Amino acid sequence: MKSLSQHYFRQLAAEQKLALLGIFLAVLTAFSGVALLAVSGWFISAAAMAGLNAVAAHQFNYFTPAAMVRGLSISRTLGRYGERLASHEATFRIISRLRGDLFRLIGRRQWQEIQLDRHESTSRLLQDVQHIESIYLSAVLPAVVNVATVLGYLLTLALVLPAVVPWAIPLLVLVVLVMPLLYSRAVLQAQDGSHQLRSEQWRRSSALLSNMRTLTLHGRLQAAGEQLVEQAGDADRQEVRAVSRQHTLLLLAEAGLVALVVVIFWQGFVAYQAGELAGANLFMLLLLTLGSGEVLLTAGPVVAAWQLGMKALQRLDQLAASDHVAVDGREFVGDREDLAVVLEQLHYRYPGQPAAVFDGFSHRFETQAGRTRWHWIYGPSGCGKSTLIALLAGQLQASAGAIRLSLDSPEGIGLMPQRIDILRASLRDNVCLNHPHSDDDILAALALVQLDEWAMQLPQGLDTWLGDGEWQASGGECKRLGLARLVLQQPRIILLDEPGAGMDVDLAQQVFANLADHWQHQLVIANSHDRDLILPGQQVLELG
Amino acid sequence: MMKSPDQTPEFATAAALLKYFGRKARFYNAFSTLLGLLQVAMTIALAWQVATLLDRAVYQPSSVLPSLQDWLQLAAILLLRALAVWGQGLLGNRASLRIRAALRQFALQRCFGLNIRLFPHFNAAEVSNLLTTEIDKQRGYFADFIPQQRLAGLMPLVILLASAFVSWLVPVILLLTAPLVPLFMVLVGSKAADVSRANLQQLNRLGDLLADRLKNLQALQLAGAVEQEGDRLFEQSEDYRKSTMQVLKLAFLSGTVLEFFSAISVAIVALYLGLFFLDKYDVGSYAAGYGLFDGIFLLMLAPEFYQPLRRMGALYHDRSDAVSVAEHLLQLDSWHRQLAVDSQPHEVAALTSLQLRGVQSGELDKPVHGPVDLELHPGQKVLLNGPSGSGKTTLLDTLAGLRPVLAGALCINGQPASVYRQADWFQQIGYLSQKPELLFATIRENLTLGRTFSDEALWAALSNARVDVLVAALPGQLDYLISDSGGYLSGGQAQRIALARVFLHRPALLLLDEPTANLDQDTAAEFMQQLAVFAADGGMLVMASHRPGERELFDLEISLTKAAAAEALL
Repeated sequence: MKSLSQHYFRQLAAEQKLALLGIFLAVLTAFSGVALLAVSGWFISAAAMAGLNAVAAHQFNYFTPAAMVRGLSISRTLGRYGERLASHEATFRIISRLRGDLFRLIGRRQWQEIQLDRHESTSRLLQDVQHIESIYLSAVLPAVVNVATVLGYLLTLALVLPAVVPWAIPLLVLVVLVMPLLYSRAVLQAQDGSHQLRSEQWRRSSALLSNMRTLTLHGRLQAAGEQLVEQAGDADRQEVRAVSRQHTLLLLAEAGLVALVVVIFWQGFVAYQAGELAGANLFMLLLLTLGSGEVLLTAGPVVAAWQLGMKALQRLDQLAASDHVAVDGREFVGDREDLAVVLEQLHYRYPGQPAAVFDGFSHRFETQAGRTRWHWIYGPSGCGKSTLIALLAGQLQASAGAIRLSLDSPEGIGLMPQRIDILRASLRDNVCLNHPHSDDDILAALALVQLDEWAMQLPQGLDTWLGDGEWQASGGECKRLGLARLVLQQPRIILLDEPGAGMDVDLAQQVFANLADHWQHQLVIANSHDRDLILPGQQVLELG
Repeated sequence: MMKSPDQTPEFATAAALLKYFGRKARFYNAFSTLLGLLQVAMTIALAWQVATLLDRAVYQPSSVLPSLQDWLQLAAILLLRALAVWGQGLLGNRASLRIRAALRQFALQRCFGLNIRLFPHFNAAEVSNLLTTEIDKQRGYFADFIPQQRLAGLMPLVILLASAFVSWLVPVILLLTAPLVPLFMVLVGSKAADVSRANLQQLNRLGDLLADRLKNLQALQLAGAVEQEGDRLFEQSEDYRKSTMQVLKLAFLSGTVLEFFSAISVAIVALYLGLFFLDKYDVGSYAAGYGLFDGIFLLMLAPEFYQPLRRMGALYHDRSDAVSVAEHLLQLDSWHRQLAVDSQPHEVAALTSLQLRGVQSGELDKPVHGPVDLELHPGQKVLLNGPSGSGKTTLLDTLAGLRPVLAGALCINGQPASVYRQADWFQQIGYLSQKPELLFATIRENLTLGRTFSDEALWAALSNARVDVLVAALPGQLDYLISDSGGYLSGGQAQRIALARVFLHRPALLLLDEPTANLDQDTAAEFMQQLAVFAADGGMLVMASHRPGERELFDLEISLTKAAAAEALL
């Protein structure tokens, strides 16, 4: 996917049937509405004039105009309904698809990067995506309708009263071309500003709510809330500024149309006096101008709507594109029976921090004759245990040295991070994470981490929802759910970051004994600050 | 709970709430109505002027061209009409600003008055949505719909009266089609509110799902499950689209019906007049019959009769949206009122004792641990232990006042905890949870949380938490910005910063949840010494821990057991 805007237009092309139907019906509706007024006006004026003369009245064919009036009133009504449905359906389908695609793109970015702006990502995927709707609904669709209306109007003028065409063209250009440009200059900034403020406000409110406990306990919630409301008021004011400018520009466009009405009417009178224009056509022309004018007023926001939609797309583009391309410095030297992870002259320093965590560090983790080797990395808090795991997992990149893994690709690595994410989803979904597994397999995995009994006594067993606002798993239960995920995932090399934290020692020893038994042909590298977890026969690397 | 400073009455229905807040912009609305009347007057004047000019041209062919004055009049009428629309827009905007600010204040006061008790009735994303997005979207209702609502009754009436001047049948035709409109609108409207509520629910669900999956993205990435989750998100987004289309279908349907009547009335009036002129019949006019003036005048007014209703129809979904938001607010308000009635806030004086008698706490309504009895006085340290999942965190939450007591009694200074004002109680305690929350802010802001402390005090607290050396090495030191997830701080370091925060605020009761889980043995030992100092200064302390080695440092020990007879409570 090159850029999101290209992707958007490709999606629009995929929905072209609905999109074109929407455009066709919109043009039909506009034409029917204008023509209904014009034909009715012509009909009653012609009838009134014919009525002055008994013979003319008798010969007057009123069936055709009457049928037209009926037909037009129906096509205007149904056209409008169909157009609204088709155009909205097309737009929202595209937005749904973009949401899914954007999420996938974000998911391909590095996790650390995303963590910095996850509230922003949420607000973008929820709110900003919606602003894309203006590209088709408020820009493309009305632009086509307006061009068609202008052409239809000029054509009718040319047929009925060619003399006014030179008068009409500059005024039409003013309303349909100059206005949208002026409009976009005046409104775009305020409107986009309000969109951005809203997005920022959403980000802040969701950050506030994720710190709810701390703020509550320290009595800071009210103040934070007041700040939020104040910002919302700012966004309101920006929005209202944009809308007020819209109203003012609409007034200017109206003035252009008033000039058009007066000019057409005046020229019409001149032509009528000169006998060049039938009286009935004079009223028809006036109603035609008034009706078309109402349609042309929708041209104003077209350019601004286009730009707003494109700006939203650009912002989403930034979200999807990673700031730095993820370079994986690890070497994958090919799978073999005896697994090994080799570190050579490793160097790592956190950005912005003075001291390096690793400076020329070398080590070798390996299995022998295909049997599990469980390696513990042991050391005090802050000595670099977690950093080492992150380097092995590819979450951090070493600035110098080599990491060689005996695997074909990174897919063979399984990582259990220090903080276990629990999704707001069922226990089953939380353990399987979108991979299909039978209930028996799930229960077997849970049994290994001693969670089977716990799972069975939950209100709905495996279908019990966990996560925010649902059933809260304790710290130790979360850790064991993380381990159960790895059991089902069956990776070759397993990295565990502080797997025992939050579990009491007896339980942890039992669980790790079970796992050491189960992972017969894997290489396990785990860190801990607790020596009690180390079983006899396991390897220990002491840091710090 | 504090008595509400505002004097908002109790609302029986969502509509009453909207009406109450709508009244905050009475002046704007009255003026807007006047402008609406000006608009309709100009519409009538336009029809009159056009009819006069054409009538003169057709019936008196010898007459001169309309004068400059005629043209100026025509232009003035059209411009005045446009000006009236413009003015209405500006007034509506002003009104919406004022009302939305009032609504937000109302919601905010209710939310934060309820504080943590709001949950789990409302989840965090819902509250966030309510305060921001949902109220943001009320512009349409207050700026456009309310002014239009009043005019939708008045403007057609004026048009009817104006057309009655030249014909009696045309007003009758218009009037006969008119009652069908409100009837239909009511039918559509009653369904629209339900659909709109369902739509709001779908939006919230989508927002929840997005927020949750982005927050827990790492788990999905590690399991290679991002692609499938994208599909799920697409499906949820499709559900939202379908429910939005339900709302729009109804909105468009009511618009279509109005459009239909408007088109039909033009058609009927045109045919009636045309055939009348052709002498097919002569009913409907007053004695003199119709001239071209009458015909044109009536034809131009016919579509205007439906115009205000059409506009209102187009805005109707704004109303359904507003009603569902108002229902949310109403619910907040009713909880708030319940609280305000049955709590008599007392201030917490110096904390002298904490008593638990058969206290059980739990998840939702199900207790997770057996009854706990405890009496705690200043200077005492309590160790809370029990197997994983036995409810240590739950009990600490309950002591902090973040969760309800499901059974038994929790007493503070001999009084039931519920008689105290919650904010006061929070000031007495410091709570270090297992996953400490660090704000996306500087270390200084994370420590002070809006209060004022000297730098010396901050460094002393950091030193007590054994994290001063680390902070001193960070660029900017106290002004180092901690990103949302803790940035480059390790789990243990983040926890110690949170601990420094707890020490800084000098609570009377310290609640600690596994504070040493991420610490090595030496650091843990130093940390335990700090706690001993805290207790020796007269502090009370409850700490949950797995480490058996720390047992002898405590005065009391509670071993939690799983709730044996959970059903007995239910």
